[in-house]
Amino acid sequence: MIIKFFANLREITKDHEITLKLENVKVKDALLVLEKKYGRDFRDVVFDPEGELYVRILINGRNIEYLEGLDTQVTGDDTVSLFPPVAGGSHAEL
Amino acid sequence: MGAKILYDELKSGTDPLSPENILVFAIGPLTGTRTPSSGRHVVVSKSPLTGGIAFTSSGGTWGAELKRAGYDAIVVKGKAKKPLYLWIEDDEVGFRDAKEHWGKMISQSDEGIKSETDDEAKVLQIGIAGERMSRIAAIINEKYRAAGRCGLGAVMGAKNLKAIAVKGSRNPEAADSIGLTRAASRAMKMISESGVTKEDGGLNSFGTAVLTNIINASGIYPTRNFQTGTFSGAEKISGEAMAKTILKEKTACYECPMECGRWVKVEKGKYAGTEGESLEYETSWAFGGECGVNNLEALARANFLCNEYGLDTISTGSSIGFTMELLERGILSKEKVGIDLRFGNDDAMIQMIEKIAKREGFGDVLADGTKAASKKIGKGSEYYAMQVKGLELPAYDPRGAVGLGLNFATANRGACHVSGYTIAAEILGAPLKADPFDSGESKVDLTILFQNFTAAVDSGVNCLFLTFAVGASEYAEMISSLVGWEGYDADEFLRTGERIFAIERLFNKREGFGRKDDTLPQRFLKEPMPEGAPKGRVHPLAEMLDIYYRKRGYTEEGHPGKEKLNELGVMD
Repeated sequence: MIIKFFANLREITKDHEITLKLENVKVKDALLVLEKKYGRDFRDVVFDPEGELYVRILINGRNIEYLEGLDTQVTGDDTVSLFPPVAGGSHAEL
Repeated sequence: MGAKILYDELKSGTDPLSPENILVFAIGPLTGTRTPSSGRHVVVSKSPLTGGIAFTSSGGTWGAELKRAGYDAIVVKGKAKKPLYLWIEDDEVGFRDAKEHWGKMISQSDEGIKSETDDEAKVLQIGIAGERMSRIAAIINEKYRAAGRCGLGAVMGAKNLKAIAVKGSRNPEAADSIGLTRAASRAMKMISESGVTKEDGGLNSFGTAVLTNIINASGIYPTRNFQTGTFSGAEKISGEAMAKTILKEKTACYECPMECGRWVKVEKGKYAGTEGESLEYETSWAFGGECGVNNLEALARANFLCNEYGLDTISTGSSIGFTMELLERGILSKEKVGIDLRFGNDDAMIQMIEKIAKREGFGDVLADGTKAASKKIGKGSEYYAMQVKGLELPAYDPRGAVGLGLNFATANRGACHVSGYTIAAEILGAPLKADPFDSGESKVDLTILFQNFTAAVDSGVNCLFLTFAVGASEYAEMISSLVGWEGYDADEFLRTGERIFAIERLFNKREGFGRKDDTLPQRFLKEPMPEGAPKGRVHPLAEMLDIYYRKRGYTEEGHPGKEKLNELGVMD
């Protein structure tokens, strides 16, 4: 599967895009592989201090929030895009 | 205030380019104060592009300067016999001859007017496009900032009003100074904590073009005149790419901690020498994905030229992309257009911008936007004019963000993203979260909420980017401490927005607008998106529109009902 990193995430990964040889795993498993590769800093950006997902994760352009969240299955043909809160992470309420 | 003046005073059926049209330059209670991002101003008039109500706003410091000079609005009526400009220095107000500045590029006339008035004056003006009454002409302030949409530059041109230069020396007062300090500090804290607005956050690090990659990844980055929603060249023209190449420094409007502006400079190549504040997301898209161009330096040049000639970048890029598709489909010929304006040809795109501004050759056809151009061209070209009510669409394909699509259809000035920016919830997840494909009642509620909230923020007059971090209660607190209104809270703030939206609707109703105009280009209703996450989807407008009218308290024709008007305290 192809993993793409955007905006400030690239400061940690130094990569824009990598290919992971993973088949039929859950998003959370793929994140563990990435944490192992990029270290603690990566985890600290992906999750907030309460352990909630802080970045937006798209699978083939669809936000996992509207799929099965971190339990969403990813196959080898999928593209996973990770965005820091380029426009998000707000505490405000309309 | 602007909408109310227009609604109360402008006779229906008035030609927008006649002396009878009214042009309002207004600021709000927040402008020029200690509240964050408070340098904006708004221009309101009857649009020569849409024939309906138009409001268009711009950042920088001009609005703050007008407040410091002691004014809340300038209302312009009639027409001067010869080109003039207005010079305001506190209580001294007068017209001056603009002969020397007419026909000049924006940067030249900005310097020229300052040399005749004051080096520290803030100059708002039209360029050659406005002078020639292009219906997609912008009103530029401080050389690089644009009240771009709806062609109000042409209204200034029609009035022979070249510019308004302002210098003020007063400090705005607040009804409750301590309360204002408290409210502004609270807002500032929220800005400093949001991943979007904080220092080194998304907007600060990459400018608004930080959106390019996420919108493209979501499959709604309009490509080659909205033929698809995925652009292979997006990365090359993204905010990330800009930060590594042509970005020289970040810039900010008055009292703004976000610094989302970009100062860019092209050092070499055919566009060398291009320098200035440049390339907001919408602009980089209008000449990028829309025209199939992936050369960042060409986009900077296109932006530079639009600023210098005083053109709206979105409508200009869209008019060029529209022509590119007509050429591709054989509806237009290269001979007719005069240059090889195919998708991806950045040289031809740059040439056409100059032709539009000067109304030369085929540029004269495009200078009034895609709706007017398609009427002249005929041959089914109307289908490819990506506009609503005459206003060209900005950088989001509504097939993959249906709440924004409903907003495009119903926004009073036409296809406007900033009338109800549901992308914040549908794609970015802030401050609310909403499935971009959901078209149910809750999505309609979301669009209405964003429209009301935005109308109030715009009337306040403040920067919408703040709304990623700051909500209605914070705005209500800042406004009530400035104005001295007791009990003005978040609900009242949203009600203010609902009232403004209804007054704009009443204005448009009087001009003949109704349900038939609350629509989208047929492409979005008939052609399924060919690829990406929204693959196979069209926009479900018909099913959403009835719900929208019902929830708004409007009639089936889309006009505010009597009961709703009574509730809002608005007289029809």
